[in-house]
Amino acid sequence: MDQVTVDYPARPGIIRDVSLNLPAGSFTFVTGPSGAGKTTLLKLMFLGLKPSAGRLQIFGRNAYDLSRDQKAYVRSRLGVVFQDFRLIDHMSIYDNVALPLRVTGKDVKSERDYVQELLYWVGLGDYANAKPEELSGGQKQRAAIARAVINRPALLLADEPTGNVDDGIGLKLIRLFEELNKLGTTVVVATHSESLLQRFEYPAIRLDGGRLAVRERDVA
Amino acid sequence: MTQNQAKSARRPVRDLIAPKEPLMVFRGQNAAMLLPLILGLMASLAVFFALQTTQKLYELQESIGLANSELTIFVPSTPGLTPTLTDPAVTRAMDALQNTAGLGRIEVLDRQQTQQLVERALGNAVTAQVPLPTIISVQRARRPDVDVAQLRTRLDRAAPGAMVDDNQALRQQLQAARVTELTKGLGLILAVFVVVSITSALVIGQSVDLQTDVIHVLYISGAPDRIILSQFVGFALRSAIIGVGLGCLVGWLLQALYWPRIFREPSVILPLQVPVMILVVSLLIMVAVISARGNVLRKLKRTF
Repeated sequence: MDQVTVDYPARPGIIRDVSLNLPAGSFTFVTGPSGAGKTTLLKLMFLGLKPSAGRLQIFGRNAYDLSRDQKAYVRSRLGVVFQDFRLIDHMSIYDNVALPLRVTGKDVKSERDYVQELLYWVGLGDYANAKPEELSGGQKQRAAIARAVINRPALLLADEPTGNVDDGIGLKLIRLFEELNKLGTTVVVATHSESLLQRFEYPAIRLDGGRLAVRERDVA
Repeated sequence: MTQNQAKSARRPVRDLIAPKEPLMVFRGQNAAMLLPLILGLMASLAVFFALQTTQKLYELQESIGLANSELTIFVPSTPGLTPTLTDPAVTRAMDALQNTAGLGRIEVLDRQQTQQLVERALGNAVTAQVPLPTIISVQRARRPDVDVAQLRTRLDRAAPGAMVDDNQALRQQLQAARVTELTKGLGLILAVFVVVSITSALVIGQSVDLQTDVIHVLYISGAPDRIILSQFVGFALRSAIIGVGLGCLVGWLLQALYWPRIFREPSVILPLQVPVMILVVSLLIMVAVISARGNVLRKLKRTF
């Protein structure tokens, strides 16, 4: 990310002149107060937003020179977890988790064992047929994580993943991210939870008023 | 979670018969559920207008064909003679007609028929004042086509004052009526197509707005535009097939009430109506789907 600025019509400068490099295989926290621009920064990373100025490279390619199909391909190599889970209500947990396989043209049937294995990994092996409304907040978040990693993403982006779950579940979720990171996935977690930052010794970047304020711990 | 829910939730995934809910659900979206109804109504109107136009054009064509196929010859009476074949002018005119290529049946109207025709055109009083002409009805052969100008000259020589009416004025009037009917019909159908296009685009566009969250999840899951587009296009296509199919049936029934000839001559009328209905139905479905697709794509490009 090179001198990236994002202006919303109602809020100019939500991100200002941010330059950032996330090496492959790293684990990074993005922190800062509410409205600091954490979500916008992640949105930029999953190509959900075009910067008003600056340059963004992802997997070595200039993100905004890509066609819409190429962007879809880049997104298929990303996993995204949101605070509000964003599971699809009318689908079972199994179908929610298998969704990225289905929409990227993979054979869901032949991947059935893998989906089931992943559900067990996040502790939802017995809930394959349940609908999201039948699960607790923590279970939903674990289902959302399973969905985010089903395509073995190179980059995992999590926006306040522990925001809607209690501290114990939150810790377990971060442990899941650590496991993924050990397998080579680059992980970026946006959080305003000071306790998480203190507990995990990973590099953290702080945003304040849209600017990269301090690097609390250096990104490798 | 209730006991039943827990039981269903815990059923092993292997027991499922390929669980695969649709990516998007349109049930419960009022406007989307109304789409087949609106398209059905529009289709019934379009089919009705199209068949009405077909009917009128067919009947006009029949009349034009009749007008093309007949000539009427008026031979003025020779003073002092009864207007029959004994009149030498009529005999000469008949000879001239019989020796003209491109003519079929030649029939001299009897006195009573002639009187009826003249009185119908000019009123009852006229026959008391003016001697009746001899009227000869002539069928034109399909081939060779008769040269009417030459026939006029020959008849004038054979029976001076004889007049040939080739129904030109009537034909011109009928042809003008045909253009008017065609323009009117196409205009009405075009208006229906415009309404279908706008309705389909708006309803599906509203559906896109209602599905924003699902679309967002699909995009971040790596779905290309065509996957998302196919959900909406599929829904528009299903709605159009159901709505337009039923609307076509209603339109046909309405038209059959206006033109019961279909029941008397189905082998003549159906071959006219069926291709028109197929064309209108195909075009309506195409317009509905293409308009929906265009609007979805526009919205997708704008929102993500």
